[in-house]
Amino acid sequence: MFQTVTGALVLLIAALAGYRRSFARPGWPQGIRFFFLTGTQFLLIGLALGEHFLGLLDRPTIERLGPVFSLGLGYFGLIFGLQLEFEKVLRFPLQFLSSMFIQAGITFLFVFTLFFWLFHQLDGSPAVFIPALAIGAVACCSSPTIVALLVRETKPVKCAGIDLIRYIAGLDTILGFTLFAAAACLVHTSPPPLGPACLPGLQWMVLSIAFGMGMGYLLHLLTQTHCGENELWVFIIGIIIFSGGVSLFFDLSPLFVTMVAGITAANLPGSKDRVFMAIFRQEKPFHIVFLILAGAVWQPGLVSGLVLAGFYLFSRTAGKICGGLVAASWLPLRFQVSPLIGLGLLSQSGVAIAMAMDLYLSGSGSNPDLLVAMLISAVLVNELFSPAMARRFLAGSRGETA
Amino acid sequence: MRRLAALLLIVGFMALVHAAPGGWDRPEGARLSLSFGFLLIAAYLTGDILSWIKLPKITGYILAGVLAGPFVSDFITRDAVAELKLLDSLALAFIALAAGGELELAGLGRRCRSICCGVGFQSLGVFAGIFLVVVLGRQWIPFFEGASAAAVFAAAALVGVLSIARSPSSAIAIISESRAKGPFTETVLGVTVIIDVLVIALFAGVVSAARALVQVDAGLDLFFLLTVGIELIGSVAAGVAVGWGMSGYIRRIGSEIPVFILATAFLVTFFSDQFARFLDSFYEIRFHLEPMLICMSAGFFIRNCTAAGASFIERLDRLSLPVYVLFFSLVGASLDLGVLKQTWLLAFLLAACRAFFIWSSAWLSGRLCGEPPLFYRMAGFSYIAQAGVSLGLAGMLAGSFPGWGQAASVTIVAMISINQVIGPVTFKYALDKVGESRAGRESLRKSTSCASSLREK
Repeated sequence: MFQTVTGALVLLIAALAGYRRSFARPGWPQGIRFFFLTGTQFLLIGLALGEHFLGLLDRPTIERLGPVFSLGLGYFGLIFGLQLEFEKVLRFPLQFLSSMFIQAGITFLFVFTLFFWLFHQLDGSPAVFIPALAIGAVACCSSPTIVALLVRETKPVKCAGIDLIRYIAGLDTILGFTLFAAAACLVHTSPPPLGPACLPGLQWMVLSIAFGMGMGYLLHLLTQTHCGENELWVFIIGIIIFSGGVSLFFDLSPLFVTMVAGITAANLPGSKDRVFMAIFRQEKPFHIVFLILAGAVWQPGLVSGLVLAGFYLFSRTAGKICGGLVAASWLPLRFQVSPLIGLGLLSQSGVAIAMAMDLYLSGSGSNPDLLVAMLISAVLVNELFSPAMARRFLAGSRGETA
Repeated sequence: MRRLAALLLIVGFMALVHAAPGGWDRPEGARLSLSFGFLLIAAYLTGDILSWIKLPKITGYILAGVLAGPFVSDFITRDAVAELKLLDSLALAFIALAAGGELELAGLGRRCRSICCGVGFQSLGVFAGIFLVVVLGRQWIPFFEGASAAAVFAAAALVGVLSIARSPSSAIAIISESRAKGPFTETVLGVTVIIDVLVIALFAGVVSAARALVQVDAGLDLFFLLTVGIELIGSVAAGVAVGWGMSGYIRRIGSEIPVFILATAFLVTFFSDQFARFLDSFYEIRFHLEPMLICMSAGFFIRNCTAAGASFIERLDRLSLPVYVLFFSLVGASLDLGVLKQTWLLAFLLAACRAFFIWSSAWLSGRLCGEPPLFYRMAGFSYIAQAGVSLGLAGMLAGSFPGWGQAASVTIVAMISINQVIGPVTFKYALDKVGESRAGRESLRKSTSCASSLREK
């Protein structure tokens, strides 16, 4: 027991110290540096604290920490939703939006088709459609963090290609979350209470949107009047956890519901900027705690998870590259863009982990442990090579004109 | 009005979820998140709305917990309250860190005489007063029917000791909410914290004496007393070690302090629980380090013995509001209204007597120590609240003396429930009156400027 507590303390301090130190070591190899910068090491810390090693965060403890989990999950949804202010999104050319849909859609179709085929070969039941849909939805999301960090670090010549990639990476998550929510809704075989006895999945989807909008309006109502930072935090945390709780209660996707809440709040007049800044300033603690908990539920010993992770990485990379290629060559963009745009969209970091945890908590898949193992293993490997790929894309886009 | 509309909206959402067919048969994580999120928003809004009529916000948090809890609306089920205990313990550990951090050695030194007098007079006064009330009124107390004189004396002593206990968590929450500062606040906090530690030792002594009195073959259990002494000293020593580690982290690493504080609170709670189980299962020794005392000592050590005190207090303050809202709403949800219904008359009488003895002993000690008249008139209102430790000790009473012990425990729990609701209101009133709360300072400033302008005219 003493080893457990001491080990836990040492690990935690090492992680927090490493997190800070990583900013001060520009000489470290890029993959490792970005691995630390995105906080991916906390997954390993969580794994060490989990039931496979120190046993400090076993399953019953994690269940009791459900609200903390919901908080981390809802935080991702809300922060993505709050960024989707329609006015700002439409300031960019319409081709940007089309590029996003094309590349995310192609990636989704690529991964979904391959996984559906694979699961069908292994299982044979039509129910494999839902996990394949969920994995496809995860695959089409990208994280804008790596591109933003690389741009800040390498300071490339400003070009429209970089704007495009940041735009896509910021928005394809919305498509991913929506497809993911559809997978969660399709699990329902009966309609919601008082609903007609047809198309239950669609009815649950409508309910998810309605509930998310209600929560967004509540957030707007609470933050419209003047309130202090502490008070703002109570409202944000409360709404995130409550939304997560209701979603999990009805087996819906907390990520999607909080994203809709964020979109609603972002498009209503009020103090959305204050809310966004408050969340943004406190990003790291949420992120760290969430990654630690995610690491604790991860079962890395599942060999099938590792095999599937390889399959996922391959199909997603291929899908992103093809999607980027199609978007770059087919769309009548007013500027030249590298056909390797997909390379800049490989990073997933926290987004994929959040979706894996959503899958784990809402139980949308038939074997959530396996899917979590697959996605976390894939993210760990992906985060090691995706910065190099993104750098390659940035190097290739130097000659492009804005 | 917007806040009221928001409260109605969230209650409406919760009522809809609650009405869903077969709803509560859901995974634990979902039920807990739902309960937690609802409590956080509804309790804060209730507190905010009650503050319009000058009541402390924590009364609103407690009230919201009561209304949402298993005895009224059942939005937060009995199971959910029990399952949220882990988060509740984390919140308590956090509050204890804050309580320790609020105790400044210099201030305590200045108020040493008043604090020592307060602790001495109030412990003796409340104990003796309640003891006499119970002994003299034994014929009207139902659970003493047919009990021996020895049992009555033992029970009276135990009820007396439990009446001494206070609630540092309520005190610190009210001080934080009303931004109170000054000599009166320092004295109240010092007395409250010291009495809450002292009561653990006193309870152990009285339980041991009561056993010797009631059970013919039992003598004074010196081993039990020694264990409690070591537990207290061990908890303080562990607290110093935790505080030293935390201050080292804050000074040398300094990143993600909120996560670190949360993790420390979790580890302290986990460690004390596991350590007690380990000793019990391997060596059959009942030894329990008190997480609240560990955290309080850690907070005190960081504040007074290290350079990280200011940064620590600032970070704690930033995190405090959600923690208080959660903690006190859970206190409300776990108040056993069923018990209060059974013994409400006796519990109210005991609570009234306790309040009277607290007020008179605080008045006497303040007067003898030369405090300003306003201070000693108001001091008694500051010590009514009870929670945490006293509830735990009441549970131990039921386990130690089956029969009348259980009935006495039920009455004490009911009395604590009443004190937990009334205490914050009276404490806030006292802080406003002595002018140490923000509202009190403002009204004092207004009346001073009004008086000076009248003088000028």
